[in-house]
Amino acid sequence: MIGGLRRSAIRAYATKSSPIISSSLLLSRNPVVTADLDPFQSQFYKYQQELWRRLMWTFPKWFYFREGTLAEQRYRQLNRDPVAYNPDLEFPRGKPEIRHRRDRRFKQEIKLPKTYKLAEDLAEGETLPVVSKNDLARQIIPNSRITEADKVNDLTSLERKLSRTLYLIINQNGKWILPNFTEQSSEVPTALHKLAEDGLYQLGGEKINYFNVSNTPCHLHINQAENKKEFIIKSHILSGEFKPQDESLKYLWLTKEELKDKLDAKYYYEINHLFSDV
Amino acid sequence: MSHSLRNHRVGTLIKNFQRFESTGVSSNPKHIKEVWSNFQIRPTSLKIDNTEIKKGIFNKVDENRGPLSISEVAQRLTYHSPNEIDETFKQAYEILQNKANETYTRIQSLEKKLNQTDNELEQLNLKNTLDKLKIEAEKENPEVLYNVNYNSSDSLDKSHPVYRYYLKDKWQNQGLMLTMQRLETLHVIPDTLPTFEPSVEVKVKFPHNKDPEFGNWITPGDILPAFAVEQPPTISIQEFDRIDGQDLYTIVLVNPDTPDLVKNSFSTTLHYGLTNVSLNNVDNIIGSEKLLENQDSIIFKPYLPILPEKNAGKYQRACLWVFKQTKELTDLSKIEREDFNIRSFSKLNDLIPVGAHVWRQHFDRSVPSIREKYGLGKGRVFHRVRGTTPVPNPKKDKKKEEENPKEE
Amino acid sequence: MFKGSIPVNGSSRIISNVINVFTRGKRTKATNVVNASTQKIVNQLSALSASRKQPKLIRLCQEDLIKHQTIMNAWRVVQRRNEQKRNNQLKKQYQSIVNAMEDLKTSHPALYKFANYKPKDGTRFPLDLRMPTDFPPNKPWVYDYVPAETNEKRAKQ
Repeated sequence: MIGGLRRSAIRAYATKSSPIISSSLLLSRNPVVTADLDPFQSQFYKYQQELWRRLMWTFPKWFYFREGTLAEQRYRQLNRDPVAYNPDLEFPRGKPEIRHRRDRRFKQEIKLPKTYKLAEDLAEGETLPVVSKNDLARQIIPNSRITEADKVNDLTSLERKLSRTLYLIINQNGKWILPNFTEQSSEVPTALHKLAEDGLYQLGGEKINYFNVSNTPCHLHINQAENKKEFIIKSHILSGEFKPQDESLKYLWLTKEELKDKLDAKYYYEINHLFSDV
Repeated sequence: MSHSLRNHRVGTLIKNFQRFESTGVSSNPKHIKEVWSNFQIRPTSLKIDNTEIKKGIFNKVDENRGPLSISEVAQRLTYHSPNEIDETFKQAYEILQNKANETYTRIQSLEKKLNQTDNELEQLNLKNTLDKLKIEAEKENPEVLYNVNYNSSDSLDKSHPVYRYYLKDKWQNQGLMLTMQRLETLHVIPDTLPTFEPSVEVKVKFPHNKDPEFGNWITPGDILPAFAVEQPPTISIQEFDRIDGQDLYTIVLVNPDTPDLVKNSFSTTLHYGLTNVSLNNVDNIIGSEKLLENQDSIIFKPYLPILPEKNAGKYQRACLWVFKQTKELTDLSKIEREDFNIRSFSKLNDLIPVGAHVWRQHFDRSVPSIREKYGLGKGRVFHRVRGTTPVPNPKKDKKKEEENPKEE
Repeated sequence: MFKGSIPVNGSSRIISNVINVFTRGKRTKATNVVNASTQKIVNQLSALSASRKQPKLIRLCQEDLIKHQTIMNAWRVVQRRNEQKRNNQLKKQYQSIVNAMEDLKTSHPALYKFANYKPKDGTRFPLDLRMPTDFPPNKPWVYDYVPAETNEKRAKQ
């Protein structure tokens, strides 16, 4: 009787003490564009820029535009001389101090002649000329930081929220988790990062260029429900397409804040320090 | 086992986290907002008195009138503010004020705690933390910054820790260094006391002078004429740490350059002695009012100006020492003026030197008249070159010297 | 002297020319002429020199100085806050690495050895990693990536 009790106790202990070792993949897409500034930061930079411009040396026009050339003429048309000091006039807000056609009390604003035409420059009846994309004189318009994927709010796109780090999560049994992979055959142990890599290829196809940050796991999550030890491996996706091999697989690319809503609260609280704020 | 333990820990962490989040709002229903414009829980001394200047800071500087801080009208109009400064200032103020709001919420909860405890040690600790928090909350307030930078330090409210913090900063960066340099180069240290750790700012002025050169606070090491020191000085002793109640101070003015003919050397004379002077952060000036009020209790040696006799050295140093008392002192009036030993005096009475000041004097034409006023006689006239040997018969010599000037 | 008395017309111009000729100490054209190459160097040097190009110093009035100080204070507060947040996060990340490795050491020594392996050839860092720019490229994401050495990579480990 005593022996039976002991045996059962050992069995219970044995099943509990050997959790399955698995590796989870924390796959991130790094920001493509620089981080968004908060209002105070951008206002502060604006202020500093103003101070800097105010303290800038005068633009040496004579160095860039030779006297008497057509370009110089165009430059002078765009940049009118400031009001000069006249002893016969009263200047209640201070005498102008002109040096090299600049009032040295203020910042100097320089307009350079444009190489292209804008809609507001056109005379009546004129139309904008068609400019080819290879024309060096064309107006440069930077691409928008907000992409098509942002507009339609496509959560599975890698092109959304370019200024943020996105993380891959998948849906398993109705629950959103980081992709988790368990070793199939246990004769020769596979390294954790290798396990994660193979898993990623099985999950999203082999046309993925990724960078595994380290062989070292960055976190250990203990999944008691499935008796699993989940070692989290950090990885960046650099290029390529994440194409689910299984049609029914649901996956999302989300930022830290969005993860908070999708992931289990307890789970999120445990691993939130692994996610980047930008 | 270990897994469940860790899981349990994480669980409690979350619980604590949630509890913290929920109580953070519910237990403080009066969450403070816009504390820097709230003068019900803060003293009005944290405000800029001049409303026009305040307008200039919080609104745009009016272009048609110019900034009011520039006194000349023509110059005022030619002033141009940097671009974007006002918009940036508004946001910066918001950020700093939000930080102060949080600090004040903490201050209020600590104050509640302070009212509830009877434990003296805990009370002291709480008071110290409160002072620190108040400095933290007000340090970056632009109104406080303005008052500190552009108002005279005499007009600041020293009962508030933030002003004391800034005054201490100012003193340590200038006044303290200057005083110590003068004390050391004039050898007040170690001629009177070996050394000391300064913790209070000592300022001296002689208010009976009409001339602002001598009537204002004097710079340590100045050479003053005899007429400028005729009446007792006003002494300001500024403590920077909080004083609960009153602290007692002893102040002595000594002259370590009195000629000693017997030893062919110098001796120290006591010229002024005050004791049991009770001061605090705000009430920190020993002026004529205070002296008249408690004349008998605090003056143990009445003021006698230092009046150097002719050719008695290049100059004589007036060393003013401020001591903090550890107990109330009695029976100091027996102390003699001559051959005063300041070291044994401070040791005997358990005095801690906390501050000092020094000025210099030499013989000038106002000396004889003031000597007469104090009934000191005409004074000796020494030979211009100091002798190398002691005077053999001091008593006879003294008499002779006293007689000689009379004959002349 | 002549400004007020003589009307501005042809004759005055002649007179002023005459005056110019006879003014003492005034530089005449002949001495002013430099050859083209010298002029070029003078131009280039003048672009670098500070002469007559420096603006007036900013002298803030008391109000604006206080505003400026407040702005800089707020900036410092914001920076410090961000730094603190980042440091806290890094500390937590480090701690969780330590926890994971400690656990792995006891639960599976072989995997622990793999996890500790650090290649020493210095080629780990990917050259394809892109620095963030202010604006996105024409194609925000490269989809047509073809793994050239997939098999090689697999064989390696």
